[in-house]
Amino acid sequence: MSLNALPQLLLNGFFAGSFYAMMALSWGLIFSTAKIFHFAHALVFTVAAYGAWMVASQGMPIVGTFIVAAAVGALAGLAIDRGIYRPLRRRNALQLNVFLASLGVLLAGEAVIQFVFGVQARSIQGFTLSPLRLGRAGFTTLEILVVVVSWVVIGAVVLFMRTRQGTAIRAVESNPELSRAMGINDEKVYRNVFLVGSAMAGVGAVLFSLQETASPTMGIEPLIAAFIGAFVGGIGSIGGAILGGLLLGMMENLGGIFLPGHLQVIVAFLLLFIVLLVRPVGLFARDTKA
Amino acid sequence: MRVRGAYRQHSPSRWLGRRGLAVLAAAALVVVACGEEIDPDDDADPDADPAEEVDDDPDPDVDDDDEPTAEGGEINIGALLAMTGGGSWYGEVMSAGAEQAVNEINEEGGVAGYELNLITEDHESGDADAAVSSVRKLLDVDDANVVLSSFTAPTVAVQPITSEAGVLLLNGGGVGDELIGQEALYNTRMLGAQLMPPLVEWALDEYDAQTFAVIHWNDDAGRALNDTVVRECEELGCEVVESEPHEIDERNFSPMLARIAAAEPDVLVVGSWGNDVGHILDQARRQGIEVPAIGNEWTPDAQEIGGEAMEDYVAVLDTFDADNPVHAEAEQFIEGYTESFGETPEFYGANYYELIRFVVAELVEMVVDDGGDPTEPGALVDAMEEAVAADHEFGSIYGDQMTFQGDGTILKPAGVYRVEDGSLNRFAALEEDQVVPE
Repeated sequence: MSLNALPQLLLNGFFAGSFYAMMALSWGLIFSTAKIFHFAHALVFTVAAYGAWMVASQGMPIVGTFIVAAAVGALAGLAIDRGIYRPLRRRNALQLNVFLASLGVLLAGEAVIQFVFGVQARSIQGFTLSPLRLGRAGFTTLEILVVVVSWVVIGAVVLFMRTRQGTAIRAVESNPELSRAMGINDEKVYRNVFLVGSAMAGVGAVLFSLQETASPTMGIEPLIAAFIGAFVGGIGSIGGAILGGLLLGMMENLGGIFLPGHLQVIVAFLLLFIVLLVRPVGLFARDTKA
Repeated sequence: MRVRGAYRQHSPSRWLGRRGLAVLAAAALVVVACGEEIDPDDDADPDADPAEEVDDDPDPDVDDDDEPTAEGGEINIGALLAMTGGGSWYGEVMSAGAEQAVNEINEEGGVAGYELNLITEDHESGDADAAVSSVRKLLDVDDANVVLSSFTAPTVAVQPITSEAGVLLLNGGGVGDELIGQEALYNTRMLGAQLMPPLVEWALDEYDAQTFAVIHWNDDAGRALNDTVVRECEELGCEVVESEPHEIDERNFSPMLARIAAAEPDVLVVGSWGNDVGHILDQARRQGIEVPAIGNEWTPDAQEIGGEAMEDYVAVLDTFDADNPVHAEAEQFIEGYTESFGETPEFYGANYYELIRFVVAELVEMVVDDGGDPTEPGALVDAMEEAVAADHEFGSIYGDQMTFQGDGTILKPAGVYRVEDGSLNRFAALEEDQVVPE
């Protein structure tokens, strides 16, 4: 047991959890509305990161890089929905078939990125790091950026969900047939959730690349965090996805008190399986069967 | 040209890692969330092979079997390298070095009447299962007469198979202790057990250190390096206060580094390779771990990833100085490599070049001179054993010659380097287990 590491682990957990919360909301929004296990979200994340790297390497300021990544992410997500998912929806494809198609898109996309950009990791420059300390715990201005951007994006999406468009999304999410009968254009709603969710992934991709690097297979770990966070929090619950992601980040890091760091992945999946066993709808979603 | 790259992009074994776990969990969640039942017989194709091979034969219009060959036939050289994954930089430079040697030899008319044929396979940056699968393909399908490998875990995993098949196994990249003293396995990379003890001793004095922490790959190479540091510290009177293993190609080191920071070591030892070195140092500095860092690896990619966090990092490495070639053959390699691949070779490329250019080529000549057939199982292994027993001096581009030791290791020029202003600068040599400042 390493209690001396507690302050650092708590802080790391909050940093990671903030990022996971944004990613869980991003993925959960698409899954809960379109009912698609959007594995290709990882590809959207990667494409946006490479887009960000391309403009950042040309000297674009960091704010511009975020905007470009969000736009690239949104377009990539929309393209996948319009090019792959919508034709499958129109053919009433099984959920499992759509999932497999999504997986195929991810694999093919990763291979294309590797072919075009090579296997080398790409760093996004343009943000100046300054070291900071909070008691025994060390961090930098980059971690502050991650937290601030993540929560600003989360806040913006929460506000968006209170608009007319957001209300339409919630209506389709809870009952697509009824909302269609009420005159809501569900294809337009799907377009909106892919645009919003994928733009969030684009922002997340810049944060991730600033902390680590962009590489062809970079999207898989944020995707895992996103879907675990979304399921732990509760599908269809915005607050649940946010809290689920935050909880995941905290648990992964606080697991370091008891376990060697390389076993953190066990903590994540253990959390998921326990929640699925004990409360399958997720910790913070309303249980309609109760 | 007789160079083929036939590595797979994704093998089943790769999918049994974290990604596989994610897919399985995701599939389960799809079923849970959507309430669909999966008929196990539905659409299942047990014969389907997701690991479809990609053959990037540079000349697909030419049937390999119909190409003219040298009088004696072909020596098939299997190269089992990290062509994908986090260590793919290694695969790139190692395969380039090997390719350079094969091209040079074939352009000169082959060796002892034999043309060389290079077949590259992928162990996916250290995946032992992928390595076993690939080496079986190299032996059973490609009839490899010699196998070049890299990384410790894949090399150790395939060694019983190549040994059983009577095929010589040559490692130019892995550094783990388990590579020592294995049948029909020879190493041309200085191993961690040879390089790290002098560096630990040097760090003890240089930094007035009492305590060390080690973060290392959770594989044979990383664990061996950790064991070496622990053993050396016991002898020297220092202490390893924290050892944190991590998976190869890990991205988030914060839990391990938090535990290391809490242990307050005087020196951080990085027992990892490839991009991980850059990620570790970057994240360590961001967590406020400012103690000196030492290790057994540095790559240009890691430098780019780590950036300023790499400053003052000290690494002990094999020394191949492309700016100062030791003789005409080294110069020929450097010029040819630079012309072919557009960049200056470093020591990994040099290792795989000389494995073929000198070791394989000289062994083939020995077998043929003795009236044998180098493509026969065991022929090259026997020749190697005889050469080692006779202290045969193989050619080398590190110096005038290289001589293998009985345990399959080698002694080569090595140096101690420090990152200064983003560049790797040599400041000491490794001589007789001592760091000697220059």
